[in-house]
Amino acid sequence: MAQKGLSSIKILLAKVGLDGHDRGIKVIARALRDAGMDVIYSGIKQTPEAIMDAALQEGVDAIGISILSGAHMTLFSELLKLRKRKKLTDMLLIGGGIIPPEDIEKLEKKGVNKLWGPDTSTEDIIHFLKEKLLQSE
Amino acid sequence: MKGWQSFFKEALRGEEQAVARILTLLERGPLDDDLLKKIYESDSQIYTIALTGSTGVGKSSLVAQLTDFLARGQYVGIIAMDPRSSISGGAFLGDRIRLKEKAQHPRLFFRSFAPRGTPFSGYITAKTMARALGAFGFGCVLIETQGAGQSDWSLQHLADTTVLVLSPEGGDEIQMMKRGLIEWADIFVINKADRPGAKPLEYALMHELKDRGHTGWKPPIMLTSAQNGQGMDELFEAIEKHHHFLRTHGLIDQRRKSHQELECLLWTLSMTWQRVHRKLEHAPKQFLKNPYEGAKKILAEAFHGRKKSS
Ligand SMILES: Nc1nc2c(ncn2[C@@H]2O[C@H](COP(=O)(O)OP(=O)(O)O)[C@@H](O)[C@H]2O)c(=O)[nH]1
Ligand SMILES: [Mg+2]
Repeated sequence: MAQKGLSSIKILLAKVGLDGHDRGIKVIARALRDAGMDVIYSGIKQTPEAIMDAALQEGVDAIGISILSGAHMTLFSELLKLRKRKKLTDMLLIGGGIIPPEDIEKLEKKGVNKLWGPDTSTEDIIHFLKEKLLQSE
Repeated sequence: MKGWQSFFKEALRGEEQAVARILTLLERGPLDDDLLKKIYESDSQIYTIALTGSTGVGKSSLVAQLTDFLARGQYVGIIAMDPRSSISGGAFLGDRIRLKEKAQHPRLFFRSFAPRGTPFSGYITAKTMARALGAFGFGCVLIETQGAGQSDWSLQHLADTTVLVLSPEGGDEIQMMKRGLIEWADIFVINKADRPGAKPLEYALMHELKDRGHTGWKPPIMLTSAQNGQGMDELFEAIEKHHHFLRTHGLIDQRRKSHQELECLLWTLSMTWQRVHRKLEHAPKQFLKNPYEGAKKILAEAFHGRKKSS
């Protein structure tokens, strides 16, 4: 379903890791909603398993992960594995947080669709999602 | 890409992924006549409960608490409906977050959605999803809604048991009375009973309800706190009691017949809406000068030569 041809986008946002700050992801949630998307926020301290289950049940087009804790390599590897096992490879997996550029490169090679560093503008995210998912006029 | 037929088969075998795919088709299209036919034919008679009430009264928190009770020995589906912003066209689906650890319940399927299409889509989508879950062997469905689309009256025919949730904070009760919900909710919940003001609200409500009960069902008022779990056993019992009451008084078939009538009406309105909308966009300006006559012309045009069902 994550091919071009949708008229709108449904996305799940989640926060992994142990830090409880969710101001950043809430700002993104609002921006995506204001850009016309259906946004589900599933909360902080989510496990990869819980995130993928939620994505499956909600039938989203994309999963957006916020991670600040530094454990991004293992977490995204786990998410990729689960996405495959649950046959959800047509859902985009994207994320942002404190991730060094070389790790971004590695993870994107492994199959994460897009990662951003800490100072991403919400416009970048919106642009990426619309370009990947929406019907081209 | 597999068609809905194979998803339907897999969903019947209990494959969660396939259940999700079918619900997504119902939520977002494209709809297929034969898929709908299949769902209506299965006519599973699934028991449905609706939780309704204003934003913030604690519906989602109650839904999460009810999961443990409802999912005893059966699969439970939760359908959470949220409003769509008419300005941005987007929606914030903020119900799942209240599930917390319950999200991992092995016999729970939770889908949030905001209606797309016409003002009648909310009711239609929720109802069709509930029917699909019934076809796939779920034991019951809980629907959370602030109102079914723009028309609250349709709520009356959404579920077998309708629970109206109020909270002591802010003039909810007056809101509800205005909306006429008081007249036909089956169970009343005053949530956030851990906060001050629950008792006075209960008395006001008792007064309001004193004349109800002529059908043999006297709607109970339950005080709950989704935060500390107070009153949850009792709420679940009240729901079961109402279900039992419907069954033993032969009322369940009557209710479901009126659901079907409304479903048919709302499909009709939804189809008309779409067709008329397209016509209206291209309608000549003079149609608008007399909107009443304009409407008649547009209706005639919209259905001209389309008597046969397409
Ligand atoms: N004090 C108190 N807060 C509650 C209770 N139930 C829900 N809340 C809080 O009320 C807010 C709205 O709850 P939510 O379940 O999302 O309400 P909904 O909009 O009706 O679905 C949240 O912050 C909840 O934590 C309760 O019984 N007591
Ligand atoms: Mg809610």
